[in-house]
Amino acid sequence: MPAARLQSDGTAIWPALWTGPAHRMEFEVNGLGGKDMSGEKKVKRQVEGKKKYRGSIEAKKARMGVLFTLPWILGLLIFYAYPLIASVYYSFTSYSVLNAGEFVGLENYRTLMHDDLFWKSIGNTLVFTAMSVPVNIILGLAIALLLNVKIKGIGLYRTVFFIPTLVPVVATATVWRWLLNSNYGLFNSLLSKIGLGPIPWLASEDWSKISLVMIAAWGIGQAIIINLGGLQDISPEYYEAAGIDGANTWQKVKHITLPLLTPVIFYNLVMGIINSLQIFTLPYALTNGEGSPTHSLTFYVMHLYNNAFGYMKMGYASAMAWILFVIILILTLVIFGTSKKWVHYQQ
Amino acid sequence: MKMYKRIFAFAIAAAMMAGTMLGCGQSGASGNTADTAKPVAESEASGGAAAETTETETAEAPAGDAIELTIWHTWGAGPGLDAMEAAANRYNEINDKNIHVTLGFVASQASGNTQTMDKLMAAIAAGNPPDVALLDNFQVAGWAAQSALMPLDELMEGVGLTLDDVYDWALQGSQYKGTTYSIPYNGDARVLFYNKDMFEAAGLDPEAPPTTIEELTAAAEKLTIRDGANYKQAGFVPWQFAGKPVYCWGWNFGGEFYDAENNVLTVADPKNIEALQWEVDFADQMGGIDFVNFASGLGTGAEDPFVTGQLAMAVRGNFDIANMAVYNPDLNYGVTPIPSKEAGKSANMIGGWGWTIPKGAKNPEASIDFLKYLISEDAQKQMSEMSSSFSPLKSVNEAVFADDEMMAVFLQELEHGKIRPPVPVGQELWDGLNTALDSALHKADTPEKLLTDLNDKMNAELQKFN
Repeated sequence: MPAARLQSDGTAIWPALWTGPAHRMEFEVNGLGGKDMSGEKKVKRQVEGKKKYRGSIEAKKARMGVLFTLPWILGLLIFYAYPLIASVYYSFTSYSVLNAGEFVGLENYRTLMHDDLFWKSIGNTLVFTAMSVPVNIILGLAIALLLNVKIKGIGLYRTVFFIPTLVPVVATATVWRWLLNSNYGLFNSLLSKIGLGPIPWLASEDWSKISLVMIAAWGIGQAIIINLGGLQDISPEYYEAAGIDGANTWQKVKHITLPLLTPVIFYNLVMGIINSLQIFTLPYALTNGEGSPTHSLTFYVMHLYNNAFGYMKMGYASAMAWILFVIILILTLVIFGTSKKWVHYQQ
Repeated sequence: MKMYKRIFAFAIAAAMMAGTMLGCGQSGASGNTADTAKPVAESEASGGAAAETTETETAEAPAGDAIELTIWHTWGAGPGLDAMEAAANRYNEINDKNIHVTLGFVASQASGNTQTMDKLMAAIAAGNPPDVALLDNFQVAGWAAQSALMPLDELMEGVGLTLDDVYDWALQGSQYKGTTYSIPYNGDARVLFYNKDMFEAAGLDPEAPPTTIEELTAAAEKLTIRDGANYKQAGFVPWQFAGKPVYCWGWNFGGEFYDAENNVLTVADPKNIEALQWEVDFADQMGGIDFVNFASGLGTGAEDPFVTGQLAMAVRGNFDIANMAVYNPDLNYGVTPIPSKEAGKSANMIGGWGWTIPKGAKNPEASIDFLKYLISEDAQKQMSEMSSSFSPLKSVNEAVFADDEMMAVFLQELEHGKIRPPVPVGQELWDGLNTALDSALHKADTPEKLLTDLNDKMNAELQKFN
């Protein structure tokens, strides 16, 4: 923030950040007393301020600031904004990356409406999100509460819970594919030891999404850390006061912890929904892109990827991308809208 | 202290810059001299599908202005890759045009999927493609239809290269709308493998394997031993391994999938429907959904059920022979043509790869010279011997595999093998057929409806390319 220049008569001039009209704030400085400036002199001062501003140190600093952020701004425009806007255009063409394709208007969108796999993938994605997000939030919360105690070695336990998020997704998928194998996987052999039949984890429609939710829950380490941050933010005075009034642990959690944690839960909810709706690498690695069995694991972004790079239909895939954008936008707005009712921010 | 901090900060910044530069390295830089290419880890596919390439340094570059050619392929470590590297090295040594080729591995490591060359797509679009790219023969039409490949006929004339001595299927896979777009590199054939010991144990004659579909089903019934909901031993799984493509059984029931004359797909040919229905009925006969689930859990490599003696018969390719020998060299098995509805009308799918020159390649004359070498008898003999892969040249196969009894069966099948329809929608059709098979086995719909719907959808897509 460029400093104000203090003038001898007690007024200060605060230059604007851009070479626009200089704003002036007049205020009393201790010991110097403010004086009422006559209109004439004010105008003169303003013009003076403008002229002086252009070459002034503040202006130079401002320009330097812009120059330093220019790489990031250019990056944003070139690698983010341009492809974003271009893909809107491409969704109305038969673009295939290799060929510019021709303008086809709404045909991509119309074809999408009739594509069975499109609807199936939307269904799969929504069902998965509905299953995975609550599981992750509740599990993340429960584990964070457990990790919030001050016992010896708590740092180690927290690290252990975070480590799975560091494992590459493909490695996770490979290991889980073996664990959940219907014939010789570890899970089924443990089940058979307690007398339960083999479960076709990744082989049947009924179980495949449940298996995926299980695998995806492996990555709640990040949510736990954020929850922990939120938990530590709650002042212990509340707990003490409640303790004095005779509240037990569960009541403390219900009436103090959860309400004060709602901003963090809200964050996890929004991010969880956005990420679940876009899930790709895990099911792709698990099923080699096929979404088997019977496309129960074909999610929206996977179908998009197959269309874009497998069938060379980038225009079609762009249309899919924008429909997903609209869906996520609507869901996010709904959540934000309803958030006022249940999210309590601390003062 | 401040000085140290500055030097430290500068060093870290320099290291990060260097790291970024390396990460975005241009292809064409020479790498290490490892025998097998080691792929670098890949970033998230959703972020733009960028797979890193690694180069394998081949022979020493001759002094002077060597013409550098970059070759992209999707083959991981194995005898096939070794043969390819040997061919590239040999070419670098003997060519008199001062050309130096470097191989680059560009497959997506997220899935091991060798069919998606998204990096090639981006490179061609950016106008900076490799000089040569290796594509699966059923994908050539797709890329050619997008005008992403250079037509090769004129270039071939320029170096005196013809495809007169190759099998029919090799020629078909190289052409799209009458123009040549790829030079075939290799081929593989599929037959029925059967475990002779298990045949004897079940009272079947190990020297008289099934030749018709009825015999096959009957033999499979005898060879299946259930154990409650589990299967101690399975006789046959029609859709396992190389039997998975619907093409395999459609052709063996006498069906066709593509009418080349009229450029129309005939996926819903009644014989194809019959074939798919047979697979569904077979599953029902062997135990229904239990059988389907059991089959989907079968493994590969060391857990390959044919290798471990859990599966008595399987449709496999010649590419499986070497792998099986690694895990169970004492397996007593034989091979026979795939059983067909009508005796003596066995059909099998030929896979294979072809070399293409992407549009925008900087030196197509040099590229075609390399390709001419690769299809020459010398190079093909070396390739066949090193990797036990078949050659598109009849003469080479006869020379290399003459003495092998087992290979004789393969060669016989290679002669009249069929390739997947060389249409631009090949990839989508392939995925669609796999989906149809999956849906039929899980009783989501009838084979007739599934194949008819697929046929209509794919023909609509195909017409867009006319």
